[in-house]
Amino acid sequence: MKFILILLLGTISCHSQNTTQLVIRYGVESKINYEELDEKIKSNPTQLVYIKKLQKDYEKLEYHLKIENKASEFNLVNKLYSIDGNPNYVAMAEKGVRYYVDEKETIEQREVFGEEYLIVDRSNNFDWTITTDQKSILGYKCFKATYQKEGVVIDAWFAPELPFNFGPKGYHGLPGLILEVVQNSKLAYTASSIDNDSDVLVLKPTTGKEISRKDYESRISEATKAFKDYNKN
Amino acid sequence: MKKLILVGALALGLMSFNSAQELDVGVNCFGVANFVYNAAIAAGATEYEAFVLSSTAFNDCIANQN
Repeated sequence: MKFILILLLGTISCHSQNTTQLVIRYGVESKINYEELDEKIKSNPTQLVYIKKLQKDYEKLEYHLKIENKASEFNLVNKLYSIDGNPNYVAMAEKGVRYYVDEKETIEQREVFGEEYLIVDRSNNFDWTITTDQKSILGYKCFKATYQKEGVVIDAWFAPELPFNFGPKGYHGLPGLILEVVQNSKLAYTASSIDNDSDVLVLKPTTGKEISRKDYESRISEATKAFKDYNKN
Repeated sequence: MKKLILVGALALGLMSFNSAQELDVGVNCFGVANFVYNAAIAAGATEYEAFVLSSTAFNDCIANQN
């Protein structure tokens, strides 16, 4: 598998003057340790039902990371908005969401507050710490890099053998393709296949109201605070 | 209490309620949104993602009950 991919990558680059067109598929797994849950959460049977449901909802998702030369796009591909008559809130929330990355900027296109936004930021602003931890994903030796921001811990496993500095959910800027991203030690986006695809086309999203990531996060923070304050009452 | 529901609903999805009946639906759906928010945090989502998920659940609940 690995040998074939290296051969394919080599062939493609020779025949098309270094054109890169790849599709990497990612599955999602939520690794919840139920023992570690807050007592208030653990003792609420309805809450536990929702947690188990959401865990299953995540596992039904499949994402594609498309790479065309020096740009990438990451988005949900299977549209399972409803499973056995129950809504899949994760799939619904991710409907139409695209993470675009090129050399200069990153753009997250998503609908929030009933409006479509283009959340814009400059590229390569992740302050990664590369560790010596290693593991194998799809036969590739991967190294762990970590990044922390406002209480969110990201572990990214990247493969230096694959010289593309992209990854899932807009994470990028490491010396190799990110084959796994683990959020808060629980939510893992893991690559399941890597294929060449000459039909891959990555276009910069243009539809939506442009907003900086800082302003977007500030708006969401305010709304989250109002939501939490309500829940306290 | 109902004023607080409106504040919370506005935070979630800029929803508005035109009648007392709609407001009661909002109360129920707010409960759903709260369960989804806590579940998302337990599953490893960020606060922003959990908020977007709970907002989606709230709007879906409202749409199904109206």
